[in-house]
Amino acid sequence: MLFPTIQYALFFAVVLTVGWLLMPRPVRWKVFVLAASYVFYGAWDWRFTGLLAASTLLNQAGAEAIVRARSARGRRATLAATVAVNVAILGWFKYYGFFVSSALNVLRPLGLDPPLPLLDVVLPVGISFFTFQALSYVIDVYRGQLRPAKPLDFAVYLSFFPQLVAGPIVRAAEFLPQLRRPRDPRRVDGARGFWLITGGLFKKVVVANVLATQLVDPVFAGPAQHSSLEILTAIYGYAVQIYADFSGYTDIAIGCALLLGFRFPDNFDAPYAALSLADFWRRWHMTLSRWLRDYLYIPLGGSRGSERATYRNLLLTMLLGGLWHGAAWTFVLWGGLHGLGLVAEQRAQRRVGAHRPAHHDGAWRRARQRLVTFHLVCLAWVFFRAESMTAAGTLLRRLVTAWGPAPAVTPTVVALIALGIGLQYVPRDLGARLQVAFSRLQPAPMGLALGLVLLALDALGPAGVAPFIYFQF
Amino acid sequence: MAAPPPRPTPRPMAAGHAILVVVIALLVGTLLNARDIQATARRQPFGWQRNVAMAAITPVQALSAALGLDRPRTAIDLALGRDPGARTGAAGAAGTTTAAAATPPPPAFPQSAEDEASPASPPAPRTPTRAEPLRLFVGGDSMVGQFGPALSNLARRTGVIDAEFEYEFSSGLTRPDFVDWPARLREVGRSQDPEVLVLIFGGNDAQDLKSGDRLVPLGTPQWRAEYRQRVAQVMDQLGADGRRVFWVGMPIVRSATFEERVRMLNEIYRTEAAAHPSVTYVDSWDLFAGPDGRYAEYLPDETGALTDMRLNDGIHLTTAGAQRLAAQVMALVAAEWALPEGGSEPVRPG
Repeated sequence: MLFPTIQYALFFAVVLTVGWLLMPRPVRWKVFVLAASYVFYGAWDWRFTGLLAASTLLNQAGAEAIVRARSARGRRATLAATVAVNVAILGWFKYYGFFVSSALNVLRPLGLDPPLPLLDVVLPVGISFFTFQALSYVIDVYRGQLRPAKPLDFAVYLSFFPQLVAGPIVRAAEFLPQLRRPRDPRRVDGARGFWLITGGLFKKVVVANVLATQLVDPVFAGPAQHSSLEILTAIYGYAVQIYADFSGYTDIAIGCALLLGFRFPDNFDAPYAALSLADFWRRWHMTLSRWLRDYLYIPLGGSRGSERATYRNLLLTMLLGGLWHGAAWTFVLWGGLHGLGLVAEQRAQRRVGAHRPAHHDGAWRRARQRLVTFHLVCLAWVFFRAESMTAAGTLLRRLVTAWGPAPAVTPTVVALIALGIGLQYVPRDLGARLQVAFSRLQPAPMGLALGLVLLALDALGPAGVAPFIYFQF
Repeated sequence: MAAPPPRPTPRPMAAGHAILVVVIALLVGTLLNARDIQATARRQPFGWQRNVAMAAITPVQALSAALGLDRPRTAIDLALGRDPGARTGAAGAAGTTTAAAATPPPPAFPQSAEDEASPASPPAPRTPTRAEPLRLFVGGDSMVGQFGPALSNLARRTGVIDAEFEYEFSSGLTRPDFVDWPARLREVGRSQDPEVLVLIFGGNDAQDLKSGDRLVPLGTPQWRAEYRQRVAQVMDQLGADGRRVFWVGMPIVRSATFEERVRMLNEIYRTEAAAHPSVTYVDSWDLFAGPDGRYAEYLPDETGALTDMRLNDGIHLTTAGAQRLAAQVMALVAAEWALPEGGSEPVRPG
């Protein structure tokens, strides 16, 4: 079920109403929300719900076995087995075809033809997200930071529909305590919830969808037919599209959760205003960055070892982070480029010994840093978006060689790109003030205002529903 | 030093308040957008879900129209240069001209009264040149989303083909109430006068259809007869206008149920094409089957490297898959018009 659809609007209205009515009876509430989440997920393909249920059972059993294990060795072995099965499931569904085709492409020219069948495996929506959430639970239990939850609680956590298919990656330690205590029906953060939902819908339906259909998709589908200026605009357009698409989705998710009484962590914080790549990763898909830091980078050794080991850990984390996004070499290269950029930044910082706080930099210097960072991020997005290395190569070659008219660069797409980048520089207080003003309204004017917003969104966006980019990850 | 002023925080609201706001917002949004929602409901496949949706939205739409609540939406549509109430699914269209002609170009094949009455074998094609390029149109459902750009790119590389493509998500020949492709193709004929059309349908056609007011269930002999007639009508119409058609069949698909339906559709396209001299059926089934004849996600590309050819839905093509199909169609076009296949440098947009 996609967020910007009538089906979801009706589904959510029912879940919201029944959910609050059942709030005094926690077990019934959990059973109801669990069923609703499976309906939400099964709307894509009912077979996927079996996988979600299997992942729930596996990880709950793993967490309980870790606690029951008598020795440290037994606990470690149980954790390793649980993590391995999770990785194997993810690997099977998401990477099997990629690994086998890559292996055959390397081995066959060498005269080797191993019997590796290319099976047809369907990628279940959101598997990367719920697998990472499950891993956070099992690892936190192993680390002693979390007690195993009741099976029903864990099942609700793993399948909770707002964040199920595309994040934010909410950790068990953040969600379960909220689930255990009753949500206060007199203190719903509704103004912020509605603000996030409408803002997210605007970003997705208007900004991302219009940019995709009018500029980005045609240019990336046929770079040979477009001029340098069109390609440059399409790269900026994609940067704005993916931000609007993904942050729009997670804003809607966070907003829906708020209306149901749950607080999710923020996922984006004006990433295109970043002063460096390290800063970008503190602002982009923040819940994934935290996950990679805590469950991959630090276990690898983090920055505790030598300078070289730190760089290796950084690079490895970013390469795997790239692969997490998709089973293709373009994603690996995207992660690799970010990894190399981060290494270069750290090296430069160590060499200069500069621990100068950013706020001591002049405005011009900061503007330059922002501009350079944004363009590095855009360059990497080319590989993220292109379907193959060859396509990315063609696009980058024509970016500098194909001068000519640019009919695809229309005032609409330029305005949307400017808006998407401009949004990064809007002071947070402005949104907070609007929410305060909104929260003072009575239900009728509040509903009327939101109804008018729905009119504008439906009228301004292109017809039809385009799936969210991050569903494929 | 004074502490910074606390950030203003919104006033919390009661859950009932939030629910009421959601309900009012949905009611207001539905009333203001009723016409568009009704259009969305109308294009759903025939069946109980569509019946329920139509039964729910039709009175709301009537109320909205009676109260004039559809006027803001109409005003926005008009301001955006759209035809109010005429929005269909998400569509894509792109095209550039290699040699823009100021006057309508000559028809590809000489037209005569006899041609219109009974489609005969088309006469020998002319030789396209840079000055008078071959006018090619690619059209159909969402399959054209990947295939259209791929074939257009190949075609334009010859330097002597003007290629345009147009597609409409969720469209086909079963539901002219949503997108009337015969009418659309007549319009394309008038505005672009293509000499060659490459068409793909079928992705959304495996659904019940209506013949007059009668609902015809999918797969029944009546359904086949009606669908066959619609396919023949498009072929007749294009043949009578002297246009050459390459009708691309659906490639093999992942789902076994859908595969059976696609076979049925392809059989209709193939046999109707055989009965129409101006139409060639392009079989893409085997092109996307593995060595065992079954659906294959990965197939060798032109360099021999195993490449992902299909999107996750098991129906649509990736760019690599679209290039594979485009190469097959382009070879047929190139052979018929004696073109240097994929010859010269990419042509810049004019």
